Amino acid sequence: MKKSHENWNDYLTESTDYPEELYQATDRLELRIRKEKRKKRLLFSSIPTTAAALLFVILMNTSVVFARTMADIPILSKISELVMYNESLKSAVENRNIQYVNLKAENGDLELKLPYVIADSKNLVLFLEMPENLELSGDEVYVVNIDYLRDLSNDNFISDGFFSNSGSYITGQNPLMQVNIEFVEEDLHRYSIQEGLPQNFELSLSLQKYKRGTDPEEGLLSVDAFKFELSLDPFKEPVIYPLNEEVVIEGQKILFKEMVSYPVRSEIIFEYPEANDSDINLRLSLLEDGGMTSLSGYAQIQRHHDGAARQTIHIRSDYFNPPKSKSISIDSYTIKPKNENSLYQIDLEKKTMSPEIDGIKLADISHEDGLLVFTFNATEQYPYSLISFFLGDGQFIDIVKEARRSDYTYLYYIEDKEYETLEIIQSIGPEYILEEPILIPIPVGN
Amino acid sequence: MGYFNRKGIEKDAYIRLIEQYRETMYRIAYGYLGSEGEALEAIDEAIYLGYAKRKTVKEPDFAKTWLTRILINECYRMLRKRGHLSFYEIPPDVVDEREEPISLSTKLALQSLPEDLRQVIILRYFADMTIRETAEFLGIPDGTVSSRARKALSILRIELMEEEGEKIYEKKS
Repeated sequence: MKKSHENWNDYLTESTDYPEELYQATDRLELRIRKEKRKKRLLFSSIPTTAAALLFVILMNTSVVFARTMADIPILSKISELVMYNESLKSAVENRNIQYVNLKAENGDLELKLPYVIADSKNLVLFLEMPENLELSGDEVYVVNIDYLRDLSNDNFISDGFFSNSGSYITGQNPLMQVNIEFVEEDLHRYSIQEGLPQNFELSLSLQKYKRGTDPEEGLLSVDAFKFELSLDPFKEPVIYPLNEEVVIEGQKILFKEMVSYPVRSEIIFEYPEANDSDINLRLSLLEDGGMTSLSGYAQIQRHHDGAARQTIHIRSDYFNPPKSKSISIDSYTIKPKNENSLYQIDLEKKTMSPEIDGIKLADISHEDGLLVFTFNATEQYPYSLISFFLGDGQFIDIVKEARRSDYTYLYYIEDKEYETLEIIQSIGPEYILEEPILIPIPVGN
Repeated sequence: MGYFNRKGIEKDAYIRLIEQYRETMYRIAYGYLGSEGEALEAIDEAIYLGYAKRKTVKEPDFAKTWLTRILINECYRMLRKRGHLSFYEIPPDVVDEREEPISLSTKLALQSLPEDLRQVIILRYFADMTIRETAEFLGIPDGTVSSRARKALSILRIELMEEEGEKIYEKKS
């Protein structure tokens, strides 16, 4: 029996055993070109001219975008592609923030179209038209991954400093897919700061096919990369709406200062006066025409150079179907006295914590699958990220995972290794749910 | 308003490109498909698709890279169409007759590799690309190319000396 590497070498050698037919490939190409030319002449003459003319008239009358598109599409049969998107096209025509870019990129026989975008200085929304000939089985899904942007004014690559998310594309779905790119604010952990979206840039993205229900590392089936060059219209300045709404919770003031409205999203900025003697953190929802959307977890309070404690919440705009009314709902909060920020020492051998934290007890330290597991029992409910871990020199230790149980038990898992000094801080106070949420009406925005 | 930069390749230049590059294309297709007939089919289709889209090539200097991508996508299409073949389903006429037939498990093992690993192996060992060239083609760092190659070879249970430019096989002239 041959060894693996002998089989491998044979396989490689076999690939260099070029058949005679390989050297006739260009002859076969010429034959095929002649055949295809004959076929096209026959096809073009068979389009029912009455039906095509009728469709042409309807679309020209109802769509400004279609009228602009006609200049770019020479073949009458292409009209049918636009008809599919009538609903969103109609809305897009009415949305003054849409930029019609009409770009296409190819990878082999796949053609990915980017008909339009919405953009501002901090955000980019791509409306992609998935290739017609994508092959997908029922247990497969495509997602769009943004690889990088390259600022064409200075050739700088932008590969981080932004969040991106896309929906997933499965068999039978509408081929128009939306991808959002948001540039991060300052001070976010592990994200570099970018100045925002350039006006002229190259965008590299990939269509990644996965097997559904598997680990992303194991389930990746294919990657097809595409590049677009965009030259956008100058970005509109955001509109600032002063709110000046003050809320008081347990004696702590929160000032809802203003809403900054971009075409793609709005930012609600609120401040916590220095005079507050506790750090209060809010869990918010967005109410739009009676429907409620959670605005994620407790956002981090950022302390700015001017001493102000400020928090910014982002709300994505519904550019195709703006609501008639909007409110922010304060549903719950955490509170923690400002003078309680000291470090607590962990003794791994004795499994103790000193000094003790009022209302939080270190119950156990155990080892599990290469991880150290810390079990804390509390007397009240806390949200996630109750505890942060540090080395003696102040270096942050990654928490691999955390869990909580309904009996106020909180578990934290960090890498199991030798720690000379291990310290923790209590990052957040207990959580209280408001019996009656506090509602703050906000403008609908751009 | 966005724009699409059109440079393109003239027909004569495209034909010359095919004549220079066809042997590399064959090795790549053979690496993916493991069969002379299918490799030729993939090449014919890729050459035709490339011809049809030759005027859309943005950077003619990178035409080989562009054509390689077309070819690889065509190989994927054929593999998907073929479906998953078990050892017992492969008809005898697909196997090349030699005194000691190449183990089908090597071919199937390569076809069963995760795509990101298989790409690196095909480009490095069948297309004879350097680490740098492979990294540029795939848009990944050089180190990632090396680590994926090592991982793939260990899955295939092959131990090779991974030195730049050195290959442990002989080419037939």
